[in-house]
Amino acid sequence: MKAFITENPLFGITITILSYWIGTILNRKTGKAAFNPLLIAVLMIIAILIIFGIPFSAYENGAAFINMFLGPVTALLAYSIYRKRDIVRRHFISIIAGTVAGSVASAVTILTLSGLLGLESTLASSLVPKSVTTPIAIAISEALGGIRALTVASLILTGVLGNILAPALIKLFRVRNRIAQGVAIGTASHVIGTSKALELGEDIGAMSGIALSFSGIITALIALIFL
Amino acid sequence: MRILLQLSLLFSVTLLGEAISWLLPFTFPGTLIAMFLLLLLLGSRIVKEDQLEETADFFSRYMAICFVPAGVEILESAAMLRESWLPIVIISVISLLVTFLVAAKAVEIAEKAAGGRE
Repeated sequence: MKAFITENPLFGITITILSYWIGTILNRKTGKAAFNPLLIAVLMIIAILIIFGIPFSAYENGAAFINMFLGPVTALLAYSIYRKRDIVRRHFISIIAGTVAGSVASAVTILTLSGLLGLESTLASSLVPKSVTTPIAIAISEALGGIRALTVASLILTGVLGNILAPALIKLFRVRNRIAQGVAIGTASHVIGTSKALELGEDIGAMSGIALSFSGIITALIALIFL
Repeated sequence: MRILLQLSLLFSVTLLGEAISWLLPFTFPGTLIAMFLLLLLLGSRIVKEDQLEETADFFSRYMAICFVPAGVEILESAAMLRESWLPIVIISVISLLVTFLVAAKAVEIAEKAAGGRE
C-alpha cells in the first residue's frame, strides 16, 4: 500500500502543493520572512520522507513534473521586466550601475572566500548565484556544475537575512537615496528581500523588484563568460 | 481559449530556448535564452502584453512552488552540508553585506553624477 502510494507520481506532486500551501498559510499568519513558504515546504517534505522512510526517488517521480515548470517560470521573468519598462527607462543608469557593481562584488567575494576557506569548486559554483532570483540561480548553478540544492539553501538563507537586516544595513551604510536602497536590497537578497523593500515603500519595492531581474541576468552573463 | 493560447505561446518559447541552448557550442541555460526571446517578442510588440497576462500573473504568484523539488534534493547532499555548513553560512553573510554595500554606493554615485549634469 505504501509503495503503491509513494511510487505514484501523484504522491510527489500532492505533497509539494500541499506543503507549499501550508507554508503560505504560516507565512501569512506570522508575517515573518523566516517563515518562507519555500523553506517550510522543503523542510516539511524532507520530514515526511524521513519519518515514513520514503526514498527520495519516489518523491522525484512526481517532483519531476513540478520541476519542469522551472523553464516557463524563468522565461516569464521577461514579462515582469517588460511590465516595468517605464521605471527601467527612467533610472536605467542607476539600475545598471548598482546591479553590475553588486553582482561583480558578490561573485568576487564568494569566490575569494571559497578559496580562503578551502571549499571544493562544486561548492563554490553552487554559491556564486546565491544572491539572484531563484530560477536564474538554479540555471546558473546547473550550468557551472554546482549542486542546485545547495544553491537553493544558501539562497533562502541570504534572502531571509537580507529581509531581516535590510533596515539595519540602510542605517549602517548610511544609504539615504531611496533608489539606492531598493537596488541594493534586490541585488543582494532577491525576492525575499524585496518583500521587505515593499514594506519600506512602494518605490523602494519597485526598484528592488527590477534590480533582482537585472542582477540575475548580469550574474548569469558574468558567471557563464568568466567561470 | 485565451489561456490555451497563452500557455501554447509560453511553452513554445521555452522549448525553443532549450533547443537553441542545445545547438550552442558553449553552455548557456535554455531557460535564460527563452527569457531573452520572450523579452524580444514583447519589446518588438510581436507578442502583446495581454497575450500573456493571466498566465504570467498565475505563474509569478505561485512561482516558488517550482523550486521545492530543487530544495528537497538537499537530502542527496546531506553529507556535504553537514561538513560545510559553517563556511556556507559565513560566505552567505559576508557576501550579502558586501553586495548590499557595493550596489547601494554604486547607485548613489550614479545618481549624484546624473544630478550634477542636470
